[in-house]
Amino acid sequence: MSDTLSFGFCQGSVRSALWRRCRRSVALLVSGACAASVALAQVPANAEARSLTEWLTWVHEAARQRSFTGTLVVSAGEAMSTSKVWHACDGVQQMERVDVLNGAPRTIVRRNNEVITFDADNKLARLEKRESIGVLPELLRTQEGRIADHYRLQAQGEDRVAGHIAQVFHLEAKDAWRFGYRVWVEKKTGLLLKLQTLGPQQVLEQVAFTELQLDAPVSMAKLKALMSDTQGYRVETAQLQKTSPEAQGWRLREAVPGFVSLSCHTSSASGVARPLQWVFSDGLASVSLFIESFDPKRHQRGGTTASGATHVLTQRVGSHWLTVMGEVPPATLGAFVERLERIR
Amino acid sequence: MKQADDTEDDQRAMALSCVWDGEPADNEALALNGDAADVRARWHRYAVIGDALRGDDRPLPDGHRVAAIMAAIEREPMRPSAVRPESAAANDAVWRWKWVAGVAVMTAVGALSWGLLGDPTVWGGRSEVSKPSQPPILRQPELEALLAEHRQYGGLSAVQVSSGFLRNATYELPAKR
Repeated sequence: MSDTLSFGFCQGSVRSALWRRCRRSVALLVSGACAASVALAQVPANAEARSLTEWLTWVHEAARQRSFTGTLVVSAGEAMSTSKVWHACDGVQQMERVDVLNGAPRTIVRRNNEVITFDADNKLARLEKRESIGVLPELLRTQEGRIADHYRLQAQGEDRVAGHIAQVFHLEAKDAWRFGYRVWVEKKTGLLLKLQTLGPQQVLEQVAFTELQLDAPVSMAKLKALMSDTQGYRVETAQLQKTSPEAQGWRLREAVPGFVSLSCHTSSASGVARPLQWVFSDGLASVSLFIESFDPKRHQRGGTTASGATHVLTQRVGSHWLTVMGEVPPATLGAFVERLERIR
Repeated sequence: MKQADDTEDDQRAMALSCVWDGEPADNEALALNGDAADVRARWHRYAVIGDALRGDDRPLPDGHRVAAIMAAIEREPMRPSAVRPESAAANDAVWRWKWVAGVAVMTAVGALSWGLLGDPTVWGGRSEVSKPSQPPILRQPELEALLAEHRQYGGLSAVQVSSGFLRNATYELPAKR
């Protein structure tokens, strides 16, 4: 039967024509999806000469060597955030400024692992050291074999992002403990332009530049001046105390495959103790375990939820309340809970 | 007497409606004595409503006339459906197929969405938190604060040491310390 006949409402039953049309549309979509799957499957695993570690180092160094300005969009679930970013580097220091364009107005400035957040509404400047920024390049070097144990790199051709030619790569998870990623990097420099976190059947979260000027004349001196210009702001310094899980009476009976302990600290805010935070990473994904004393007034309901790629599980463990979250499948969070033990 | 007038009015309205639907009208009802202005107003009202239902792109009547029509609709007595003749309106077939088309499209979209979302049991307890009666627990301020801390002190990736910071800075919630 020709398309004209099958689409013609005057031919035969209108009902059957309508259903034929719906069926045809669905069939086209399904066949398109299958064709896409076949195309992906046909990309040779070793199409890219670089090994995963070399590739990660290339992408990592790109951000350390190039200055740029741009507009970054993060979409996760129903939420979408946009920021204007400036990045400057001189081979030793890296500085970044992020002006968040939606929600409460705030500017965040980073010099290496020192971060100051200006909260314009509350005239509050919060100073902190984010040691994980310094830890991860080291993790990349020491755990290089492990990352390759759990992820496979596949080249997937070229695309264009924010006006730049990009090479597309699929970082495929080798097991179900973690999500995969699709990454767009600028073809010449390796600068990350877009990143998708891939769930089993859909994109969970996207980070992408919508506009990017490479090698932009970003003044590091101006960023430094901005970082120290706290006039009119009340300055708060985050009080973090490094500790160890064992010192706090906790351990994992058995490691969750691929995830290594990255840091553990306690903190306080306005004299009130915050939950213990124990951070794990497999090199690409991270998981935080927050442990605090159980309070029946505040901790009424456990469960799971998600915000984009970040999944959250809350559960009572004896006399403690556990909140586990990370960019991993819910089952991985469950494994952390199941393997956590009180040792005193 | 008032009740008899109402009944005649209803019969006349029904007859006018039948004429608009292209059906045989009750000539006796049409011949009933009534206020000519009221009949004209009703006729015009049916014309406007018919145009709107057909989606005709004609200029809308002025606001005063719309208000009058809406007021008249307000006054229109509610009739039990049994009083309506069994015969279908002339455009019923069109509406029926629009309804069928709507259901078909929703079915197709539903099938695709199900395919995209996959089996909810894969996601463990997520179906539990998606019940409308239970607000997402991420709306709890304390949980949001922990999420912000996760993004500040964890939440980085070797593939995006710099971009990860940018991502988290863009995404993170205002500090609730």
